[in-house]
Amino acid sequence: MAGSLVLLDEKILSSTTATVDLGASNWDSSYDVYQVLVTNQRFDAGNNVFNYRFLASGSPNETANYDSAYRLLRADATYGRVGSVDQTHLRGSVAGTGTGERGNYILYLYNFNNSSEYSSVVQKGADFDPNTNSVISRTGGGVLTVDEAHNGLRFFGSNDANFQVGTSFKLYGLKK
Amino acid sequence: MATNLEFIKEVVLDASGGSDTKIVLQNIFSEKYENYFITMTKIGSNIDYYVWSRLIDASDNEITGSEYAYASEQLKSYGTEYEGKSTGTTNWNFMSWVGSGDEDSGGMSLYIHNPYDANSYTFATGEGVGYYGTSGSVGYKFIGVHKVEERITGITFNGASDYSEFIVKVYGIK
Repeated sequence: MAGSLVLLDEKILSSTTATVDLGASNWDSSYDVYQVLVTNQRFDAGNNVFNYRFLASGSPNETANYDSAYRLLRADATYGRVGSVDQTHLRGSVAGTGTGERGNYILYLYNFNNSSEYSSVVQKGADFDPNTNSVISRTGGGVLTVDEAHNGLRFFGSNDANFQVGTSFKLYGLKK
Repeated sequence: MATNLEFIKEVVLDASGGSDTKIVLQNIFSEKYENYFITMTKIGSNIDYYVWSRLIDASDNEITGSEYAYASEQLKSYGTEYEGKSTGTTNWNFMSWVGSGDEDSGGMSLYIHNPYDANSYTFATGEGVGYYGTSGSVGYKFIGVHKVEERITGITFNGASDYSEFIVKVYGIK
């Protein structure tokens, strides 16, 4: 495991930003599996959802072809399950501006370089919800059901929320 | 080729090395990394139990206050799943398994997010696995937060009794 991650792209925000792309011109198609770390993620307004789409030739696929299933882990209540089909994006947790409210995500990207099969992502992470005083997570994964190669992700918030200064996005290739 | 998973520390306790009441990893977090990856293997003791953890502050003190929240899902081959959780307690619990038999030792992979930032809570995301010799296999999915904005420099791992063996490795993700 030691020394197996190679940084391909990073965006550490110095100003508020509505969308963040990882990959695109910095994508390296020589890897089978990619890892994305999103750290210290905040929005500039409350109750917004952390969303993302796959990039195809540098542009986000916005079609209603994303399927997903998540386990909703939370410290304050019984865990939930949610599955969705034919969505226009994949999603994480709700985040905003409250004290301690920062999202952290670990994503693994599979089969992104294959133009004749679907691409998929495994998602985990942890966020703090000040409304329930609880740590929360949408743990699971999603698939874009389109035979298409992909070269990164576009991150965005619901309701046109902006990512706050200090939010960190990093893309790694997993070296053989 | 330069890579971005950088080894920081390893602690090994083997069967001939006596026992430790807990695994203490001091001064492993720094301004150099935002995210850390910790692996634990051969987690063994004389009592079957759960791995639980506390953080270490900038004065090298283990944080024992009710400042932790966590949610863990325990998956069992021999029964229904169990939800271990708390919004305010003195540790992160139900992180993985401490096995008591020779073949029952546990393992765990754990990410720690943003510990050294004095203006942020510290978060954890992990998975664990083990074998409960009288019943079957157990798996864990864990998330945690330390709900105080302060600098964190280390972490401890605990169980119900002395550890008889373990291997812990800490990496920084640059």
